[in-house]
Amino acid sequence: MAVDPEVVMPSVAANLARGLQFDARGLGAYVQYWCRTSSGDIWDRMGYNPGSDFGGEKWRTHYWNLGQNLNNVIRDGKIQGKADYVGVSYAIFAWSWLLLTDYHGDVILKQAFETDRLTFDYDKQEDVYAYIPQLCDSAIKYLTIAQNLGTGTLANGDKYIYGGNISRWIKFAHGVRAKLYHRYIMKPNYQPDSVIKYVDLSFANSSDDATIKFDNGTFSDGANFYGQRRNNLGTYRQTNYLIGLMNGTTFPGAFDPRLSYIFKSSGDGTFRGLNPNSGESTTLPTAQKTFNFFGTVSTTVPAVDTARTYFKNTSPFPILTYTELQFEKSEAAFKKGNKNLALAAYRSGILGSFDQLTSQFTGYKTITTTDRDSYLNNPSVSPADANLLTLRHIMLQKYVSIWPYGMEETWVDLRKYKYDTTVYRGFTPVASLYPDNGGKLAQRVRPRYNSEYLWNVESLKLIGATNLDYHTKPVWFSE
Amino acid sequence: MRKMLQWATTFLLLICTLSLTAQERILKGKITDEDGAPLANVSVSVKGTSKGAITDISGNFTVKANKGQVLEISLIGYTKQTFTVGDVTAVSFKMQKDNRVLSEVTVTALGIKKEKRGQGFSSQEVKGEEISQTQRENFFNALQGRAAGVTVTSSSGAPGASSQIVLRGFNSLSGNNSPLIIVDGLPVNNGSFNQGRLSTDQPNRNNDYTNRAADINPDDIESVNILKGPEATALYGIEAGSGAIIITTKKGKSGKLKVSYDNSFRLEKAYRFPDVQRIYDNGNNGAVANTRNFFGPKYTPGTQLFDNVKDFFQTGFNQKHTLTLEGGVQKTTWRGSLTARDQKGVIPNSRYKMYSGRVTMVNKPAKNIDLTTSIAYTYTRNDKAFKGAGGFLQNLLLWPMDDDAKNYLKTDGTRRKVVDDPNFAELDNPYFDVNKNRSYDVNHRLFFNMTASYDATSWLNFTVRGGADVYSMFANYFYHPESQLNRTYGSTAGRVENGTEKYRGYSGIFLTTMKKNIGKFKSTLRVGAANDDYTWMNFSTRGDSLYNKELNDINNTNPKFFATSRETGRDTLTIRRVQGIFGEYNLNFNDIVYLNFTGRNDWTSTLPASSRSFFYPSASIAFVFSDLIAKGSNVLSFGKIRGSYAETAKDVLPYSTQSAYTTQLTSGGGYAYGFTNNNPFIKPERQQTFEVGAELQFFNRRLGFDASYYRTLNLDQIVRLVRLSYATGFVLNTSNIADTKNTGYEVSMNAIPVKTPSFQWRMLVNFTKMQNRVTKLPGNIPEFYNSDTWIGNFRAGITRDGNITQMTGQDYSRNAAGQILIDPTNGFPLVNPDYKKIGDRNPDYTLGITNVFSYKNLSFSFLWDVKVGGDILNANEIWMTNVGLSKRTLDREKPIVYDGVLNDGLQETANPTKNTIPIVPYYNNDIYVSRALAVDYVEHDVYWWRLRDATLNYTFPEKMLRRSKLFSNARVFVTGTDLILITNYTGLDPAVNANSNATLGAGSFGIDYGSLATPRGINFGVNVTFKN
Repeated sequence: MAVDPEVVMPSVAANLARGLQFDARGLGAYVQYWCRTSSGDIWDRMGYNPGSDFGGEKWRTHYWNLGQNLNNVIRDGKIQGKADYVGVSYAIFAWSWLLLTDYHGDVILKQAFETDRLTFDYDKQEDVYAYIPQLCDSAIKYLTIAQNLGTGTLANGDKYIYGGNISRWIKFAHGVRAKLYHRYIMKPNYQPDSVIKYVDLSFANSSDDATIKFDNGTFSDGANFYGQRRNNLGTYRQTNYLIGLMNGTTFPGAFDPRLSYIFKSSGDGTFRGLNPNSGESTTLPTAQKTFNFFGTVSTTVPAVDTARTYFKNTSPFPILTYTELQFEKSEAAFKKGNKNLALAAYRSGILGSFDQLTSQFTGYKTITTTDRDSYLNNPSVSPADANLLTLRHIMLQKYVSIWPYGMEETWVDLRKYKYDTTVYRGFTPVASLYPDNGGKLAQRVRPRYNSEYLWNVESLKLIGATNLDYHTKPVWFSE
Repeated sequence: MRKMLQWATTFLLLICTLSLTAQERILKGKITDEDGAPLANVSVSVKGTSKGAITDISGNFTVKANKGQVLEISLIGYTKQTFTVGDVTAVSFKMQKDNRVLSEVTVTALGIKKEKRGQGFSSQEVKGEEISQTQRENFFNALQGRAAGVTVTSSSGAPGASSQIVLRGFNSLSGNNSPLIIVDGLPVNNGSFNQGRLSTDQPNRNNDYTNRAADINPDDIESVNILKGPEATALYGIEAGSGAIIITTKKGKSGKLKVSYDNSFRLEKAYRFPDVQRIYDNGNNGAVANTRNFFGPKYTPGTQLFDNVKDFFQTGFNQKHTLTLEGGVQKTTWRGSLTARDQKGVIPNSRYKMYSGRVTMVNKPAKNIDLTTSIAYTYTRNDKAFKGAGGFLQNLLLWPMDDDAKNYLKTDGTRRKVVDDPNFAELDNPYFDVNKNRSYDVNHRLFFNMTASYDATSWLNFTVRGGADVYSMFANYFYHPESQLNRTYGSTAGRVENGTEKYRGYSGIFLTTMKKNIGKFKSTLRVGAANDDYTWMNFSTRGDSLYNKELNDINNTNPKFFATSRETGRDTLTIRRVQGIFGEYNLNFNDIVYLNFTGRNDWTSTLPASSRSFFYPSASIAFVFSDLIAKGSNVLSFGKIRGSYAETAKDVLPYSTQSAYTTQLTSGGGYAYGFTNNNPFIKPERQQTFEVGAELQFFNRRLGFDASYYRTLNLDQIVRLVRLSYATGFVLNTSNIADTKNTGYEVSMNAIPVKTPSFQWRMLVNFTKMQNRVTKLPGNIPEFYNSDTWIGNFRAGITRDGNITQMTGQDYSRNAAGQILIDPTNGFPLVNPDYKKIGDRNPDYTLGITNVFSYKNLSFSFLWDVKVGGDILNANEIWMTNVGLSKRTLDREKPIVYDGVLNDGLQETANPTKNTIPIVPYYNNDIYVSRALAVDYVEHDVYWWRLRDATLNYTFPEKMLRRSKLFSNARVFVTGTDLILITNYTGLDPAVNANSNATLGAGSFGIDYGSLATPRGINFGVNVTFKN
């Protein structure tokens, strides 16, 4: 008996967030979204946990939580005439394959989901990228059929993403394609016009954002991983690097209203962050302690849900946003040389971020339109002349605007610009890198330990993944 | 006319002469056994003629014979008698048991009785009397040592503890290794309740469910025949891939009503408690702290210390009463028995109650039809304590020694804690645990069996047998809201969890037997068909947040509590069907050479359609050479060599071919695939067994040997729960991936060293040596393990070229030279995260030595169970080291410098830096927590001599009873169980099991963790038969 797609989709949705959020603890440290309150954290030092699945959650959700479940939705959906679910499944697969290879580099593509295999060969990143457009095509094809039919039951299964809004799913599929095409930016065959075209076909504003909703904050599985109930981020703090991007240091004189919306200042009124691998002194006066994401200075998460924005138990978690896509459009236009278009998309990106924050969340300090516009129009944020717009503007505003959910995308950007501080002004990797790095910065995350390093070692050896510094080997898109 | 008269006279004379010479008369007789009980089916034939008769159920026969003719009276298993017809017309014979062969006839596959003489494979029979006199509630436990190749492991010494029985070692890596249990020709379920069926999905180690064969009352067992190899059971098909245990129940004897009553009382005492340090107080790193670790400062001299462990246990008391009635009239015999048993264990509030009844009727409605009907009912209730981690034994040990654990309640009746802080997560006081938390199961079981046998002609027989094995089990868990256990299992305000298992097994067999003798060739052909249907229905539900904190009732829970977590119940339906057709051909040449061929084809519902039908053959030969070379010899009484080859197959657990969705707790609930990739391409696993053996009897069977060698190959083993790359889309997989090989030697020696009319000494020695090896495992699977056994930094893990019975665990990291690597920052040795083989639980050999001394009416018998070699993991000691209770931690104030080299970059060079960093565990007890590696706690080459049971019997002499108005038979006995254990093992009991019987594969025997050692018991009682 087939299990109806309606009842399979909710857990698929939850797992889209789960993989990213679990791994965000490590990856968030790589990209300096946050760091630990004590020094020595392996991920702060761009290392990895040997013999551990830490950092391997995306792998687990992609192959297990999504994999065969989506395959079945596609199979049964075709039989049952549920083109909407089929289309959505293809779109999610496209998104998931993209993020998987962005994160790990080489992954198992061609032999994946063959249930009677014992070993699985790895495929190159470019092969995975080449496969994704087919998925986008299938997604659009079936979603278009569903849209024309107009009688689907998607609202039942899609309660936690788009509530059954097919036109948004179509935009989502275009958005994934735009994101994919943008991965080729360092390649000679890069097509900025394709990126721009698909961004334009995609989200029109932040109300189109793809976010995963959580229906319940009172027990673990139904709650936001970032939230108080799940209690995963108590010893993490925003970095000084992020604070510097927002408090008028990196963008001189432009205090970002989003800073006081998302964060609480220390008792002395200063917004603080920590430096990776430095920790926070335990002897600091309380008034100088860094506030955590839950509005306290303790490393223990409060017993009640005192958090704001992304850190509440039921806060939705974005997986693809208007603001992110606008920055990609801006970067594409910039690359193409169309500075006016680049500046326009750049400003849309920042505005999208403000829209997203104010419409989807409650912050500590409200943002008025005046606050927003005066920030946006500050010359150190938006140059009056499009020719004064730099790549640094685009990438740094993108960094701020997709914090704290876009670590995956941010890491793609950091890696493709080779952690270049002319782009990422002020970005200082830790001095004391993890010993296995051999002085090199992190470039990919090793595949999940309990899946690959225990049961598929022979295949790992073929791609050099058993080398201690495999995680510092650059991925294809950054070459 | 005269001529006519002459002819007539001659004719008459002739007739008269004829009748005179014939002198034929009707002879009536009765045949009984040595005890005077009537014997049916005895063949009485007139030698040299085709005349003859068979005795009826009362032992009566009528035959026509002439004076001077010889009657031959024979029955398999008895000495043949002859009788020359004389003048008497009524005779009676007492048949003598044939002493040449101890058990000449054995019940083999499908209830077929065969002469053991012609058997081409080994089997061993244990008499019901021997089993029942051990007074073991679970008859499995009485089999250890009584037959070669049999390994029985009990999960603990608690009442109703489950026992695992394995014949000739573990063949299956992750499937069922339990032999097929057959009672009177039909299968009986021997499963243990799988706690994975509970709504909370428990791992089969915090609670024990008895193996359901224990529902068979040992007092009803006439004999147990152990068919070890698959060749013995090829006719049973896939069910018997691990051998079969054939139980024949007692039948009534015809004659007057016989009423007998047996009782038995047992006192039981726990012993072999963990030896703990009593010097250091609770604390960490030498400082007092609110912790149950014993890493604090020394107790102040004069502090009163309590022996909370020893004080806890009570003297167990067990009583059993059995009433048996049997008799027969004309063509019917019957037997009925009733047993009541009440076993109070050494753990307070642990109790096992059983009521059981069985009625068997043998009826002969026509002279060529036999009907046997039996029905049995068993009720059990088992009140248990939680075991393993968080169970009473560990918590007793953890209780502060300077506090009397007996005071478990405050004056207001609430739980007394050592640290009086409601937020402090304090472990349960075991007294509180056993008095306030509850766990019990109740089982109702019904066995029904009906067999009809019809002799169509002297050479053709049809037999039909059908029956049902049905049970209904209810399991209850009650976690008191004040208990810590309730938090451990995820509740905060008390929990009631109930589970049920309803099982139905319906079996039917049809069998046709054809016999034909041509000269010295005797042949038998059997063909038949069998159908078995099994259904398990499980339902479990739980409620949290109790209104009344003492009331164990699911209606006493808050229905709103689970509004947020959705799943509070679990419903499982499992159905399996096996159908088979089979045939057997026996050829016997002159009772010297016996050939046997079988073939069976099975269809099983658990395999995919493409591979669910399979055929397997077997062939065996027996050659009784003694009759050729040494007939009538006083030295060699009997000599036989035998050989056999058989193939069988095993299927998978139900629903292993289709991956299943499981309910989800994420937003919106719904379903997603579970961990397991159930393989639609699975094939049956194949077994090929080859066996050779010999049986020799000397000096009129005063000394005998029966030896076998076997080799079993298990090919394409179905391995469940095997981990592969997640690229399959799953975490665990089911695949035909492994090959294993089992070989072994078994020798049984029987001897009667002394035999005088009044004194006899008999001995039976069973020697078993088994070896097992994993011969194939794919290259990408370095290790396979069952996560039930993954308790600490060790587990029952299997590696390529390793053993099925091995254990794996973490070892220290070492350099290429094998030196331990030391962390240069703190002097701690580094741990290699990989699990490697750390020991093998398989013993070098085992011995079961039974001695029986009988002097007149007194007999004394005892069984030594001897195990030599094999490793035991003292996981209790690991745990005690972790918490500072082990005596290994007594030298904690002395600095330790690990012998190794620093992991400073020079470790692989010619001159590694030798470690000189001292660690003083007293101030750094983490060394006992993080570096208590299982590899250091494996006790190698463990032996034991265990006096399993010893029985002293006195039967009152007939002379004395003749004067009694009440009794015709009376016997008194004293039996001791597990009285003596001599071992080099330093832990509690090397024969316990960390998991229950429900854990498949090789399980966790030999892993000693949190279980109570088998208590010592002493039984006494009487058996009497009433006069009527």
